[in-house]
Amino acid sequence: MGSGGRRVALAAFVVLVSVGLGAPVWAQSALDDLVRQSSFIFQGVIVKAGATSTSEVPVSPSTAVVKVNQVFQTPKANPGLVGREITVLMKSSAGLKSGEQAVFFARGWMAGEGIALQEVGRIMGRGGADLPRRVAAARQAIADQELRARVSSAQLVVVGKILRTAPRPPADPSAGGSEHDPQWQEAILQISTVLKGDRALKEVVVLMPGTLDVAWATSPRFKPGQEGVWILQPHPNLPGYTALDPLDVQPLAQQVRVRRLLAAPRSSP
Amino acid sequence: MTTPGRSKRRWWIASILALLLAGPGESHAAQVTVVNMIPLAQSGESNQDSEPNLAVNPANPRQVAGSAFTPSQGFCGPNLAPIFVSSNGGDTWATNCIVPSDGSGMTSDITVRFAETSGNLYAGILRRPGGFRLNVLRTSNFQGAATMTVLVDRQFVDQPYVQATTVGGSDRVYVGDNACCPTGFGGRTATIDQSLNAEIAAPVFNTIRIESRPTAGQDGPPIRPAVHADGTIYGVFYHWTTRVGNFSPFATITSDVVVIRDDNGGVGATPFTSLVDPGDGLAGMRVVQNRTVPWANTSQATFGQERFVGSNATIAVDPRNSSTVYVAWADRVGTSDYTLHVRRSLDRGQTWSDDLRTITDATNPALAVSSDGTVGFLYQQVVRVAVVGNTVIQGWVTHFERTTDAFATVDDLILAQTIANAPPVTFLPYIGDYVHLMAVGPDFYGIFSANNTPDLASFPHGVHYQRNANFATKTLLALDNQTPVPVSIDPFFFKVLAARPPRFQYAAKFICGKPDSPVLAGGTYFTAINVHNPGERGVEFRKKFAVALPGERPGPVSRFFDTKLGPDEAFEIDCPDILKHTRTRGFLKGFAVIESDTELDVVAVYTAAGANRLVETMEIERVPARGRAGSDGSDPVPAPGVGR
Repeated sequence: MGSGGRRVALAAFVVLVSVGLGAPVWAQSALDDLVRQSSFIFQGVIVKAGATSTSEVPVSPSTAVVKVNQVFQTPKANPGLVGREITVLMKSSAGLKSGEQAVFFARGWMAGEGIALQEVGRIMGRGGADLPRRVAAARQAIADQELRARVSSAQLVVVGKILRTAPRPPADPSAGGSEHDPQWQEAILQISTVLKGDRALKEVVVLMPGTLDVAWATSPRFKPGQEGVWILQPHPNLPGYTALDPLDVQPLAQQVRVRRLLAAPRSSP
Repeated sequence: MTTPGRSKRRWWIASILALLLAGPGESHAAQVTVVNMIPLAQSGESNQDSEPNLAVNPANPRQVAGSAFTPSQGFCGPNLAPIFVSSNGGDTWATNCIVPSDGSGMTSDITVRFAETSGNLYAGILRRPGGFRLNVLRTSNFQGAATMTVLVDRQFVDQPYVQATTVGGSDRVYVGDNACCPTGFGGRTATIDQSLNAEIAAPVFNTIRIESRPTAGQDGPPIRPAVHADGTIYGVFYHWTTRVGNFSPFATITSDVVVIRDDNGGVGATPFTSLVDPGDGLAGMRVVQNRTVPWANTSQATFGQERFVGSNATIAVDPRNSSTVYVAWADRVGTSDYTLHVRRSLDRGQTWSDDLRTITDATNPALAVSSDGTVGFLYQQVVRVAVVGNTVIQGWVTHFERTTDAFATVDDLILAQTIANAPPVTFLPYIGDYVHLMAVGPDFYGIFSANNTPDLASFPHGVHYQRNANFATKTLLALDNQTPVPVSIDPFFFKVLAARPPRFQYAAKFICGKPDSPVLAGGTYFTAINVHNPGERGVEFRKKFAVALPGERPGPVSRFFDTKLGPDEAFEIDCPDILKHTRTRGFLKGFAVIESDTELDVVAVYTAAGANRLVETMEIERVPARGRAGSDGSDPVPAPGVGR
């Protein structure tokens, strides 16, 4: 088991033991770990252990059909789960009985005529009245951790406005011809505030992909007049910075949050 | 069969031709199945699921895996992407979240292949983020929940295309890829990453340079291997000799098409050097030289929103004889075309034919050769459908051609004919830089991407949608089966199963009507042939009627008529049916011939009425099955004896 697996096991253990003792107080960090790995969080009742609800998934002792009673988190692409029966591949099926209720933390496994999920953790019972608030807090903490990872690794974090964009001069063909060539474009970013990095900077070049190629499909593109918080890395070979992760461009309204994350110690969100 | 000729520019003509060629009621001709692979549970998706690839498990063709630029949409959980899986020969599909990825929940380039006998599925992917990180992946359970194991993780690589086989219990995996970008190997970038023990916990992969000549900085993106069971491995790639332009986004490439070969599975000190070009004494036979390959890495308004990035090469070896090998590639022969060429070698790549097939304005060639030597050729051709105002409406027509005579004649199946102007491009490639075709035994399996409008006119050989769709209103529907979903690009699986002789044949004598000549005793004769399906599954079978004339003269034989019976159902073929199918009146004798892959109960009831029109005789006969060689190689059932 890797360190991630050990963390999850520990988190699940903490949660399960807490519930087993009847104590409603779990470590929020344990819940954070479960939420981080989950695309589905829901409360449900086990309809039948050792069964499946969708033909794509073979029946095994580890599968169970679960009826969803309440959803705490689900992807937008999978709406309307309440009241439906879905298949869950359990981490442990020991002692699992029909009629038992639990809060399931799971990620997607199979999507066919129905859906099947892979459990990453479970809280027996209904989860407590404050579970929605705790899940929401966990999601916010995870989002903060992800954004803090970006700003921590960035060389430059600035508030600014795109003045203009233009194609870069023709690339050096020796760099190679690939359908995934980014076809860099230059965006001139006027800096109003430096949150991290060289505070003397007033204007920088930000490179953005000009290609429509799939490899760069999720990278942000900028338009003249666009304002925001830019989280920038220097390009390894070209003069200029890049902001290639969707998190690397934040709306102006996130400036306070970014400042807080820059100031906060790494151990807390 | 048709003789290759000028491309049809109007798909309605093509559609009519396809329907005419298919012929009515030929249930035992090649069976064509087309399936939209998006599962019911993802009915709300509207992604651009382009650049598909396909793997059929040769050891169990009911196991099929597919891939495309299909995102997780948050379903898979963090840093995982899905592939498509089927356990029933591609009839239905699910997505399975087993590909390692990043927060985008999708991959860049991805290809998939099963080994020959181990059941292991391998994938070559460009792992996100970034553009050129090669991962070679493996799973022993492609329907399981475990994330695929990373066997190789290195940069800088483009367009990994995986092939696999099993030799002596070891999986051999060959990943054709391009060592760019930036370019490696001093510009000799055509590469095969090869493992001869890919099934073990920590397999060894060797990176083998297969380009022997100086290049114009690099080779083209596609490096495609092909594997033969006798250990022969072929590969094809574009050898770039000159380039004009900077690739961002335009260039013009001059290229040779080169085939390489290894006669011992890539084992040895100098792999892939078995084929030497006598023109320069270097490894790799130049099939053609100095071809122009356009490079335009932007959506092309005149090419169905697709781009030109010289990524269209394919190679296939005849499983009966590894000396016979086919290649296809794309280049530009005029000023604005994109033309596919197919050629063949009968001497292990040493000499090559002229073009056996030439297709203008097409992309995504894919070749395969079946166990009986039939060559399959899949491609997608852009056609001009109409002009509306200032807008030229284009279509993508996906062809699957089969030939048994080196393309002197082809059987052209149009699998899909869809609008190319919609939906608008989200990213490139629009439909893909490649598709895939493969043969398992006598059958072909393939995959392509196209506009997913639910319109039966777009699919001349039919189509099955799993996702919610209303074909009457030509509308996609979300999971609630009510909310409209925008049209997008979807992957489509297809299979063309070879005609197989039915396993059981029944010949039941019929006598109908009142004889007008003294060949039988006077009276009125009736026949009722009762057919019962004793099985627990529905059965499809066919029937025809052979008329027997007096005086030792053969009569006409009707065409076959398709029939279905559900579990334990029965029906009757009686004299009015026989007269209708044979388009005759009056007195008729002959045989009703029933052919089925499943054993049936066939009982004929004969009655005759005399002058008073009452029954005077009645005979009941159980019709025995005549055994025929099964398509699965099983022994025929014993020949029937005489009697009832």
